[in-house]
Amino acid sequence: MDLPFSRHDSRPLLDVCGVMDCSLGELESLVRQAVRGAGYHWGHAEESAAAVRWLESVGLPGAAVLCARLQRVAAGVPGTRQSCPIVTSSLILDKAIRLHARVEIPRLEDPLLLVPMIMDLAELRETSVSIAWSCNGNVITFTSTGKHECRASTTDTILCTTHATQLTLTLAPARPCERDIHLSPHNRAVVADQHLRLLDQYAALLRAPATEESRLRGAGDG
Amino acid sequence: MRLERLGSFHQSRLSFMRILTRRLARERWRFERREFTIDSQGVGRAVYTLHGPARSYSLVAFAHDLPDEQRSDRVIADAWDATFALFDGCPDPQDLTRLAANVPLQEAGRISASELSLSRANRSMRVWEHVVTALSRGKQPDPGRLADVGYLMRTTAVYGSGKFGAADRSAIAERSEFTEPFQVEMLTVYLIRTFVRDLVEHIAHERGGPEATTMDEDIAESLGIGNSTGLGMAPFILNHPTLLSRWITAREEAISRVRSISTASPAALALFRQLLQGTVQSVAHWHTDHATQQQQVVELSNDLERLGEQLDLINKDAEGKTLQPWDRLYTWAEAHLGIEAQECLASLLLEPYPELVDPLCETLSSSRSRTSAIDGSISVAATRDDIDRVYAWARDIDWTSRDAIARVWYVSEEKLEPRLGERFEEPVAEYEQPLAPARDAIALRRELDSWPGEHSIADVLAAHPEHRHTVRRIQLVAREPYAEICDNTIAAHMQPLDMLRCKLSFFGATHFDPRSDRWVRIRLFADAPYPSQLLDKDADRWIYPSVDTTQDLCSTSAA
Repeated sequence: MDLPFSRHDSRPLLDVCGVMDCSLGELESLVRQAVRGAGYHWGHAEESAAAVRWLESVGLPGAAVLCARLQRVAAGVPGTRQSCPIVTSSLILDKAIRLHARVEIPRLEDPLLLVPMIMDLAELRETSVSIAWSCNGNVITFTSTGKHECRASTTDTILCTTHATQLTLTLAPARPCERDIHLSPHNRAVVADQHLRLLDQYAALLRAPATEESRLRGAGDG
Repeated sequence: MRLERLGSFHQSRLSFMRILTRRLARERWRFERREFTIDSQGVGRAVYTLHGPARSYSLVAFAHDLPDEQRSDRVIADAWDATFALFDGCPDPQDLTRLAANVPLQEAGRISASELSLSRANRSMRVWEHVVTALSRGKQPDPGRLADVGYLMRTTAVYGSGKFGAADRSAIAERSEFTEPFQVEMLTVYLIRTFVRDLVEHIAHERGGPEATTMDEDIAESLGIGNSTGLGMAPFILNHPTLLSRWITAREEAISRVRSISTASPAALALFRQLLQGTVQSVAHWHTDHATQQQQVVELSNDLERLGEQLDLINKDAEGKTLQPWDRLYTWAEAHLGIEAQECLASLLLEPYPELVDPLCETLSSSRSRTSAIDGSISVAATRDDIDRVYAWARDIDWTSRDAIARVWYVSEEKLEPRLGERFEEPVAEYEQPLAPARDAIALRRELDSWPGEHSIADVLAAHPEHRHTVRRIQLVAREPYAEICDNTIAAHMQPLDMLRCKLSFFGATHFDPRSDRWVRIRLFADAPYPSQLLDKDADRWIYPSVDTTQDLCSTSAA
């Protein structure tokens, strides 16, 4: 398979320690194609791409979590599709104005992918929105007060945990805990090579093999 | 918003090339050739820097010795005569080492947040050697031969906006020099043109020694940079509906403002006549082998003559203070001239009125992202109304006919860029990209027929998530006046060239020379002043080379 991030021997200087410094635009574009390649609808692919872009811009492992998700979807792991954070995000946002102040979700996979949605929700409802879930005895919380601001109770690797239970979405004025970490967006994302390769493998499922006929129809020599 | 009309657009005061040169002159940007270490074979490196009021930008150029048989304009090529990156600031030796290891590889390399663009160019086989030979012998190249081509090198890609690791557009959008669209790409090409002139003169000098000479100023100025553009660019105006709407809105507003002028001053009329004559001369040098375009050029040429005659009538009326002369001229053109001439006139009308038109340049950009949140509360009835309004033209199309859905936009594994396939002749349907908004909107409309009007669109999407991307688009294009192309983008007879030309005309391209129905050669910056001449020459209307446009612009204001 021909991978745009790995097909050449002369590896870029920026590729050190198995990570790549990416522009947010190229990451978003790759994720959009990858999610579609993995079988999601285009609308979900667009939203996942925007979500991973935001997560990576604030230093959270959006690409890693998405890769794990796509692998489980591809493997047909039971229950994966039913507890999908991509689909759940869209269902919640679509019903934004009708949501109660408190929404409970018994279980969900890859909850990190649900977090970017609270930014839009806070904007739409003009109030603070928090999402909290339990994981291995810990409670993880993200809070957005709108205006593209977001705070997290942790940025630890626990965020990569696959399964979460007792998720609670709260729409109410809230004062974030002082210990919470303010998430500041950056203009770049540093993504592991392995995740870029995997995303590209899914994106490649959407790319048609060239034929002589298609070559002849393309741009010619100058 | 039909493709045929978008595909007839011409450059104008709102074109991105002219916005760039006006700014560079207005802000007195200083040019510096910081490095030019190129050997007798034309291999080496050069660095050209423009210093603005707040920041500097450097074109880092790598010149290569490319065997003729490897020269190709195809995106899948892997070697070029020259490769470039636009560096944010002035590169230090470490930066240059890094760029030397990556820029010549183009897509196979990697650039960083310090770079704003990545590009490459090939020599024109038709004239490069002729120019080198002539100059090396102390002679000037044949102007007629040069005029037929119009450039010495042609770029085959200019990548910006985060491609291959470059800085994202969002990272630099707040800088005043990049407020308007594609200023990074235009700056890159503008500096490439200077490098190409230096390179050809350098190689001629290396070959001819003391006998060699440099190009006459007039000849050098007449040369632009060529560009080969293929299908990769075509979906841009589909993928950026808000941006397209901003461009068309600015253009329509500019035309409307000029058509509303009650009387035209003699100076404005005189300038318009001059520019019209200049355009006639320019069209006479518009060479193409493409049968349809040839016919359009002939028709345009005839129409411009008729436009000149009509202008005489307007002129006479103007002395009698006829109301809204430009509106009368445009209305006449709509009834009597072809679409090429109508659009050419629309661009020409704007020329005498920079005070009315140029402020609109600030409205050409959009910060809206592609993925805005869907408003799920909108009712099924309201969504139906939006579809019926925006896609009214598409409801009469028989979407079950093969002709209506003959094409497929897809990405090829080989090229990694959009291509257009034949749905019923190639196995490409399963790879289809969502670039048929009208077909998808009508499919959604059909689904909505079975839903009660008072239900929310969220209810529909919960049951039919396959329509999410279409609903998002409809909610976006319904709010913008010119966001959607009113044509079937997968029809058997759709001309991708029209999509290319629409975008390229906003760049400011001239001399469209289609090489097939899906790729086109153009010229950029032909007749523009070089960076060192910006303060001494017309930095705005250089696009009309045979016209003295240095008169006082204020005198053209409406009476």
